Amino acid sequence: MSLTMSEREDCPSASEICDFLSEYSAWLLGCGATCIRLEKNVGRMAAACGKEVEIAIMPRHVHVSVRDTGRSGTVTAIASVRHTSVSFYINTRLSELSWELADGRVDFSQAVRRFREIVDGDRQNRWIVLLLVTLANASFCRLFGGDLAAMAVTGVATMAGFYIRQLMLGYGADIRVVVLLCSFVSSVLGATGILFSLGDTPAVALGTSVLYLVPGIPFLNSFSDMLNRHYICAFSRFSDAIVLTACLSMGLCAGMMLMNVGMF
Amino acid sequence: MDIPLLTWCGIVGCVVLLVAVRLVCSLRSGSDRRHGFIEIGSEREVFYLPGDPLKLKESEYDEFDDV
Repeated sequence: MSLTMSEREDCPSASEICDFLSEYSAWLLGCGATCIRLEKNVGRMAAACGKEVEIAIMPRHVHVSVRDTGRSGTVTAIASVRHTSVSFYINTRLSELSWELADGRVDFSQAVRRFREIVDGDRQNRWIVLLLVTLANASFCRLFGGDLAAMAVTGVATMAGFYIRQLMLGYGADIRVVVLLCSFVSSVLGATGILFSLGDTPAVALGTSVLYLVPGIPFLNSFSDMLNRHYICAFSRFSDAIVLTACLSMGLCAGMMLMNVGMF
Repeated sequence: MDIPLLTWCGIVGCVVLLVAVRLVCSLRSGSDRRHGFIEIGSEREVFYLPGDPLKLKESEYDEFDDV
């Protein structure tokens, strides 16, 4: 994997940097960053440490090769992309860290410590997330023309579905099964307005009750990767998003069919 | 009863049951951990002597171990 390299006293070795950058890349990709962001962050940090880096980004692995500028010999590390939920907190903090290292505000050892604090410190309060997602989906209902009754129905349907989602993901259930089941539950509860003739816009409540499950980040990231010519990752993310959307649609259709609503 | 109403009642029942079960489990496990200022202790706690067999170690805190 590596050739023995002489180290400068003030800079870490290529091996240490390679290990750090591979783990950094695995976390950054896992938390929902685009490939271009990863390339820029990693290149910036390697340059700050006086090294050159080449990175190969695959859907589930990252290959990082680090070389001392002007010297022969390369150190390569392969890391598996972390299976973690999308986290803008980790994404932003890790990007900030790359700038701090590039600007000289932290040295390499401090950067490694900060990295550990960032990835270990992201603990969102699940109740706050549940509440905010409920409010957000109810607001979507309002945006699409729903009245107060429709907003209330959407809020309850979202709360129930998202709670089940948190529970099942906590037990390690497959995300596809989770999306299918949650969309079914939310669509049945979202049809409450139609079933009991509540409000003037019950159809809007049904349509917006499953919006929280739409995989927006994978779709956006896939287009971003495609624009930057990372076609393999773009296709992989797009496929993931399509599969999740299909599961969502199946759950929604099953709910609508059983509730005798809409196009069936 | 028609199918839509049956389905709706089934889903609502399942969700309510799930929340109730999680609430009961949470309260039960929570009561095991919390100790009041004044409480009636167990015989083991009151009459413990060095050398008595100890209780099994409690499981670590689970961040999902609530309602």
